[in-house]
Amino acid sequence: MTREAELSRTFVEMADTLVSDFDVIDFLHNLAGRCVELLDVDAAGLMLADQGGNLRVLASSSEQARLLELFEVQAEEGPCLECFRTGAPVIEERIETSDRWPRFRERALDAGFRAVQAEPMRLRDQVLGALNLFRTKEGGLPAEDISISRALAGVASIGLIQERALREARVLADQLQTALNNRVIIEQAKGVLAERMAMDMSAAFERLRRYARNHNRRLAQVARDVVDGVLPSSHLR
Amino acid sequence: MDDGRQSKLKARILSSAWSGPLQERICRESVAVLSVTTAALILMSDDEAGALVVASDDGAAAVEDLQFSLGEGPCLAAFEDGAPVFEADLMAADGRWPGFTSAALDAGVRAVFALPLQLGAIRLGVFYLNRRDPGMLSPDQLADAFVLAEMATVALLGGQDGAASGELGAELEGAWTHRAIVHQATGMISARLGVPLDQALLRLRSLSANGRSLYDVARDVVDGRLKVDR
Repeated sequence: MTREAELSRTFVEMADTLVSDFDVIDFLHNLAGRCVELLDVDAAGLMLADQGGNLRVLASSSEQARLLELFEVQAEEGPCLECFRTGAPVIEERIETSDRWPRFRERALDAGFRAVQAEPMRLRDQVLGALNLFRTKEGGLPAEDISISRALAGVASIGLIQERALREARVLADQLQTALNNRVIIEQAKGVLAERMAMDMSAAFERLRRYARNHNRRLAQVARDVVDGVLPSSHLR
Repeated sequence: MDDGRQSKLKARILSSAWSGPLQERICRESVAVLSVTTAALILMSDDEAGALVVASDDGAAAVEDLQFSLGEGPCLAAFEDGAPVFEADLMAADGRWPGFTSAALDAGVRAVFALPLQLGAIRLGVFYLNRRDPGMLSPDQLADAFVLAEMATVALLGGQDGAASGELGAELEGAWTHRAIVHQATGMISARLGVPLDQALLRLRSLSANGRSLYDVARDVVDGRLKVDR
C-alpha cells in the first residue's frame, strides 16, 4: 500500500468513533501503532487527561516508551508533559545535549531515545492530551512527517470529543428514562395506597416517603414493591 | 443527503436569530421547513404515557391527549417500534388507529408524521408533526425531519442536564406533572379491582371513551366522584 493510501485509511479509521463497539483504549493503541508505521519514528505514545484533569498514559507502541511516559507523569517533568500544559508542540532534536528536563534526559537516554516530539491533542481551548513521538536517532522529523503527525493528533482529538459527547448524552438519556419511569411508578403507588388506606394523595406520598427513609431505601423501589404487591399496604401505616 | 442543506439548517436553529429555548426554535423551524401545521416534542415513559414538552401551537396538546386517552396513534406506534411513522393522508389510512384517525380528521388534521427520539437503545419520546393538507414530505424535507429529530433529542436531553439523580429536570417535570393524575387513578383502580396496572389503565381509558378526556375522568376517580366497579 502506498503511503498516501495508508494515510487515508488511517484517517477514516480515526474519524469513525460512532461505531457501536468503540473503545477508547483500542482507538489510541491503533493511533500509536499507525504513527510508528507512517512516520519516521521508533515509538509513539498517547497521554490523555482524565475527568479530574490528571494526565494518564493510555497507549504506547513499546514498553520503553510507556515507562518513559509514566516517568514523566510521576516526575512531573518532560516534553510530553510540557506539551500538555502549554497546549503547544514541543520538539527536542537532541535530548543528550539538552538541559531542559534533566531527570527525563537520563531516563530517555537509558531507554535508547535520542529525540522527541510531542503534539498536543486539542479542540479549540481544550487540551485533551498529547501525542508523543520518540526517535532512537538524533534530529527532527521531516517536515511532511510533522504535518502528518499534527493531522493525526487533530483527527484523533475530534474523534475523542465526539465519543465523549455521545457517552455523556447516553448517560443523560439513561437518567432521563429512569427518572421518568420512577415518576410514573411513584404516582401509581400513591394511587394504590390512597385506595387501600382511604387517604388522599399527599398523605399516601408521605407514607411512601417515610417508609423509604426509615428503611433506607429509594422511593422508587418502595413504590415498585407497593404496586407489585410485594410490600403490603399495612406495612406503611 | 445534501450536507450543505443539513448544516445550514442546524446553523439556523443554533443561531440567535430566533429567541427562546432550543426546543421551541426546533418546533418553529420545523413548521417552516417541513411545511407542516404543527410540530411538537413529546416525552414518553415505558408505559407509553406521553407528556408534551413543547409545541409550535396549542393544537398539539389536544392531539397528544387524544392519543394517550385512546391508547393508539402515530406517536405511540413510533415509540413502540422505534421507527418513524408517516401517514400522508388520514382519509386514506388503513384503519390501524380508527379512534385516533376519526378524531384527528374531526380536528382538521389530514397528515401525521412521528419520529422516535432515541439514542442507541434508549427511547425518550417522539417528534410529532401534523398538517391540515394531505401529502408526504418531500425527500429534502424527509432528510430535514431526521436532522430536526436528532436535534430535538439533544434539546430534550438538555432539559435533563443538571437534574439530581433519579429526578426529572425542572422543565421536563413541569411538562410531565399534569400526567401524574392519570397514574394515580390507574393505581387506585388497580387496587380496587385487584388487577394489574396495564388493565387498570385500559379500564380508565374505556371510561373516557364517551367524549371526556382521560384527565377529566382520572380527576373524578382521584377525587372520589367516580367509583370504578367490576
